[in-house]
Amino acid sequence: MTDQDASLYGLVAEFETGGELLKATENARKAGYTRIDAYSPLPLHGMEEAIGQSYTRLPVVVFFGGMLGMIGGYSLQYYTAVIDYPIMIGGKGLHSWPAFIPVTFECTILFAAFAAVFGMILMNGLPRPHHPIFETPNFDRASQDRFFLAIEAEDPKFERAATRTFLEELNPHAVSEVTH
Amino acid sequence: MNDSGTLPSILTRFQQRSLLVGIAALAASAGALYVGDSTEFYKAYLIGFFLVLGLTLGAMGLLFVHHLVGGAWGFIVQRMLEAATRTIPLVAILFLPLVYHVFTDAHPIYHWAEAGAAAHDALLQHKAPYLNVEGFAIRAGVYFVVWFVLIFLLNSISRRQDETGDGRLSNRLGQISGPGIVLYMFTMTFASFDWAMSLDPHWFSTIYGVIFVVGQVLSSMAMMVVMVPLARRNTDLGLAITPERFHDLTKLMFAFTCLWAYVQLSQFLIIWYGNLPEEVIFFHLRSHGGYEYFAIALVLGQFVFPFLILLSRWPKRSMKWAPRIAAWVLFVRYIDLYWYLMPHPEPGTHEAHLHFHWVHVTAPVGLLGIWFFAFLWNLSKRPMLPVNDPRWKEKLSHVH
Repeated sequence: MTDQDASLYGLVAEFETGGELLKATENARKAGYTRIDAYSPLPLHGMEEAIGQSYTRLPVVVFFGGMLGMIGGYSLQYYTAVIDYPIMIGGKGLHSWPAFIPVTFECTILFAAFAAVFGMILMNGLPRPHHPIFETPNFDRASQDRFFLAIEAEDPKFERAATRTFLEELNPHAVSEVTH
Repeated sequence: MNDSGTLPSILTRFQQRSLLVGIAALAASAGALYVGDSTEFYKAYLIGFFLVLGLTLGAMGLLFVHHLVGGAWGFIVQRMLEAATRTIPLVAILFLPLVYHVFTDAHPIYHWAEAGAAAHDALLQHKAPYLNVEGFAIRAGVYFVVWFVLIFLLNSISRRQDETGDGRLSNRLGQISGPGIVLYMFTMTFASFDWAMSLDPHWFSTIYGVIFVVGQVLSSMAMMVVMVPLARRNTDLGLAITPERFHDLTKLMFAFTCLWAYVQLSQFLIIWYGNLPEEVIFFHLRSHGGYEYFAIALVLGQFVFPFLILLSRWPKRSMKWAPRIAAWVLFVRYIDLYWYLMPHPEPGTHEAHLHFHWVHVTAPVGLLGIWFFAFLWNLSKRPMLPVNDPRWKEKLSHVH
């Protein structure tokens, strides 16, 4: 941040089509902006690449969630069948691992899914009652028929006047300043 | 004729070599017949036959799936799958030695086909209306006719669309694919009963056919992952392959890897639970006498190892690494079939012993060599992409 007052969240441009938003996002990346975000009512193919978000640690979280479920599911069965309440069934031995596989598998999937959902929520910084982007005029239409591109004031390249000019050159419907 | 139907030079070279290797290996294998190892030869031949049958019918199954769901991944490999299915006349010819063997050999690999085998075996007498050499040959004829018709329809409709650009033909392909999947499941289930399960005519498993179908589709999918990076030097295909579409192919290979483990475990778990002598003999033979190493190699090689690697995103998107894993999966298909078809109890015992014979390698290599020649020859005959399919034209504007 260079010459802005601390209350400014950033500049938000409003577009009428997804194609325009995609192009604007690509241009913003090319111009060197890094703290940007795009808001769209529908998934846009190619947005992931355009916004430059190629890496997420979520798969690692999911993997360890799955491992936890696998170890937990197997241990639960081992504890109940071998230690806590040993009953010989069908002469197969107390530790009859083939019978443990289905439950172990299900626990792996369950915990991996939990890790994916809750990991996603937490890593996205949710739950979060308020976000400055909601101060943008017309922003409720981001879930209907409008497309928004935000450049945050924290971006090292952000300069109020220059960034506004840059956004206006992208031919948006409107550009607004959004405060905290 | 534009150059879109021609093969990249790397595949042309591979085509010539595979024919040479195939003929040489088959000729060497035939040597085993002359020195009297007929059982070893035909067992090995059966493994090779199931490998080439799998690459052919697995391609047919994937085409059905493709025409029903219509994802972009399917259009990338559609022509390669079609080329693989068009080897069915060759596969039918390659089956004839087995028919000849069952009818003429004094000690065929199928014990039930031996003259007088049923005389002291009440179970074989009971099964004789199904398990007899005439029925074996007639049913094989029926399976091949069904496969011929389905494959003919898939290829001729697609060819007509190439020429006319008629969009309605896409719907026709979809309409035959639904019943096609059902027919494929039925015929392959009975074919696996006839040609593989009846090696031990006392033993039975109802999921057996499904295991073979899943193995076949897995092998076809793996072959596509190997083929795509080789064939992309052809200009048309090179432009059509995006990282996203290649990723879809490897995701499917990953899914079939898991499905393979699922159906194999389903069979094992139920037999292990029930613990009935006539059922557990299958796993008893296959977990003793040297075959236990095959069982471990299978669990690790066909499931654990590919699963752990393909779980990550980057190997699935790597045109360098994904084909190597796919090639490994194809190799383990051989180990799987070896483990399924080879174990046989020593006379008068309930124990099988692993014994290698060079023909166990040369016969499958010979059949695969000839099959690959036919496959690549078919591939060179048609354009590499179904450019006149309206569904494909629509996909071109998307990344996926």
